[in-house]
Amino acid sequence: MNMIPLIKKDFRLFLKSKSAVALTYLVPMILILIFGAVFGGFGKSEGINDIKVLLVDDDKTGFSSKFHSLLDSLEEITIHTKHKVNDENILFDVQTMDEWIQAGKRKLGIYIPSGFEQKINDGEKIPLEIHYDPKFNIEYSIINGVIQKTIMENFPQIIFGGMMNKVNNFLGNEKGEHFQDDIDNVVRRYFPIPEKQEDIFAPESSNFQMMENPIELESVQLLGKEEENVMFVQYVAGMAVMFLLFSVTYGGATLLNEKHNGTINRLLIAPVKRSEILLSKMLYISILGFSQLIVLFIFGWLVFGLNIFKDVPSLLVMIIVTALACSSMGIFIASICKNQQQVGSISTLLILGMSALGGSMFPSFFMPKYIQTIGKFTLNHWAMKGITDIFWYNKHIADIFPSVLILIGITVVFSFIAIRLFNKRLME
Amino acid sequence: MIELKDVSKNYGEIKALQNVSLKIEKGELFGLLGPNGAGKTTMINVINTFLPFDNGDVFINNLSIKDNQREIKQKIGIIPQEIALYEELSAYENLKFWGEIYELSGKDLKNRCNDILKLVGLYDRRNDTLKKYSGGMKRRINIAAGLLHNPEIILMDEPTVGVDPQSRNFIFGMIEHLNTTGKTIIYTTHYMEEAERLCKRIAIMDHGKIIASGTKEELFKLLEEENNITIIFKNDFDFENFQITFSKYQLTQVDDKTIIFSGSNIIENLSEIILIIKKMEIEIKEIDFAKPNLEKLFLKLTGRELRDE
Repeated sequence: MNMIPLIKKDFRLFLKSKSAVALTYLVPMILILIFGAVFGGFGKSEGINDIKVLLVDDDKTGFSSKFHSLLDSLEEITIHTKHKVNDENILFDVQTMDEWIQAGKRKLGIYIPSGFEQKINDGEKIPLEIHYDPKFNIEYSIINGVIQKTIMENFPQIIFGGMMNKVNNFLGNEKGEHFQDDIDNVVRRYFPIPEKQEDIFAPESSNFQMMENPIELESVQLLGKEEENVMFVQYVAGMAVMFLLFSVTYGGATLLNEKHNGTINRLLIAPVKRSEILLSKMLYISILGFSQLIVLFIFGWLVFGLNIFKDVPSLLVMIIVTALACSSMGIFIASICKNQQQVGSISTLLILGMSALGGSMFPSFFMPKYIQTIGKFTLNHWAMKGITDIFWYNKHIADIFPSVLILIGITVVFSFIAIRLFNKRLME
Repeated sequence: MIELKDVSKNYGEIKALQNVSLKIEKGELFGLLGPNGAGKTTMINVINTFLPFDNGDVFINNLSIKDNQREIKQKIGIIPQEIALYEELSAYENLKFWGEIYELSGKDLKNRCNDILKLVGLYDRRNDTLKKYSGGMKRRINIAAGLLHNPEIILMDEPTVGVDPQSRNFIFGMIEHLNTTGKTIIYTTHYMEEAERLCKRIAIMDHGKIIASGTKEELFKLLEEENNITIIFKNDFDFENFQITFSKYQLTQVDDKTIIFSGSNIIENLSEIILIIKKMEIEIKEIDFAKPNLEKLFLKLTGRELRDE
């Protein structure tokens, strides 16, 4: 078995090339740093059209139903209250809703707790919860705004009723009635919402805050709570996979170099099998890719506090299958090219294209639906899905199995084609 | 030791080897001479198991290369025409790698690397990357990499292409030294001077065929009947008078002062010819012997210069 000297030789050559080492480790680190810093704090989200929102109504009163149907009538969102179990439509409960969001099936949900209407009538704050995946901050903000707007526009009388109760409690019934008369005059004049509310309603030098937000909206972040920088996983994984593709393609191109300078022929004359030459090259590229991903994730941990210890076995599995899939892709690209220049131009086009479509450069949920669908045909998509599933959705090996399986499939198919093409090319 | 029996190899329409049969004994330094494209490299690649052939068989130590490739590969050291090394690695790292490929390891590998580096005269520069080497120095490491595993048979495919005279002489010395240690060497070249200097037996190839083979003496004999002597006189001479006097020779007048004597055994009869000319009281300015060489033999056999192509 002559594969070990072949692999050692490749690593020796790799380490002697400063530019290759920099391209493999340093450049992606710098880009991760830049992208992470630029986008990391923002929180990214999908487009703003037709956000699918789950809704659980535990209050089941006329007011909660009206609130539900008002939300449902809005163009920006589609409300789902039921899911199918054994062909039967069943209402969501909070636990199922949370499970759906955690599994990435929906981005957020609204929970109307029991006592919703009662609290409004009592003049207390309206209790509402938004359960969400913090990756979708924009959707969260939109839904938050939509809820406030819906209540303010459609139920001002209830809000005022509640407010009057508060006034009476605070001032006493007699003073409260005078105050209510004044308010009525103002409200009649400016209904539904007076313009400068604070000026009219908020008495000076008082801790009475009648016009404080009448909705007690509680946000329940379901995922990624421990990540300091919620978008950072996206950029570590994205940049890592993209640069992995570049570095493995460079590794694949060394086969063409070796053919060009005659060392492959010399190896074929030596007691080395052709399969050993190709397999050792693939193994070298895979090990290189594995080390690159490991280094970049450690970098993410050290610099951005990315919790890489969340599920080490699953992460390692993803890193291994991603490295293997990228290696097979790199060897494949090299196998369809005749020289290194061709590898350079084809790989740039292919890798940048795949990275853009597959979500390595920008989160795929930024993109239109049809682009997201096309993106599913890229290696990047499945690599990133597996990795973000671990970090975001707390998924484990069994859960990321589809991504793992697809990446293994990519490895097998591209390796098979590449080996066949190279076998043919080596003898030309 | 090495035997080719009716070996043929075609590349599509091109007949690279046509029914080549050849026997090379153990310890021989055998030359394959021919112009570019004659089939020398193809023959080397067939012997070293790199190229499958269409017909015939090749035997190394009576083992067919069809069935015993791994074993035969260990016995062969190849010095390819191109410098097939890793320029980014040092000479030592290159040799270590090729040694490992031939399953050398540990102290043995280290000693072999150092010995070979001394043999090729580059031990002091063993840690320099090949990038810093001259063409001749790279050639020497190229040779060293083929010798590292101490092969019984060494196949050298034009190992002096593009080499400066100093390195060429160094390489020649090394080849002669290797031959004295009992190695069997096949040396391909299109330089007849190299084949004449190094090789005891030579096969001349053209268009995939061996058109002549044997020792240098045997090959030169094929040219003997073509021997001739060119004589230049100080003054004009009477060609007709010469034709009468030297009727048993074939004469050609080149100009008023130059004549060519041709025929078998002409060299042996030179003293007699000179004596007769003296008696004719014609003063000789210059005598030129056309010495036989492989270039002339190739010209005779093919009608083309050896370096036409």
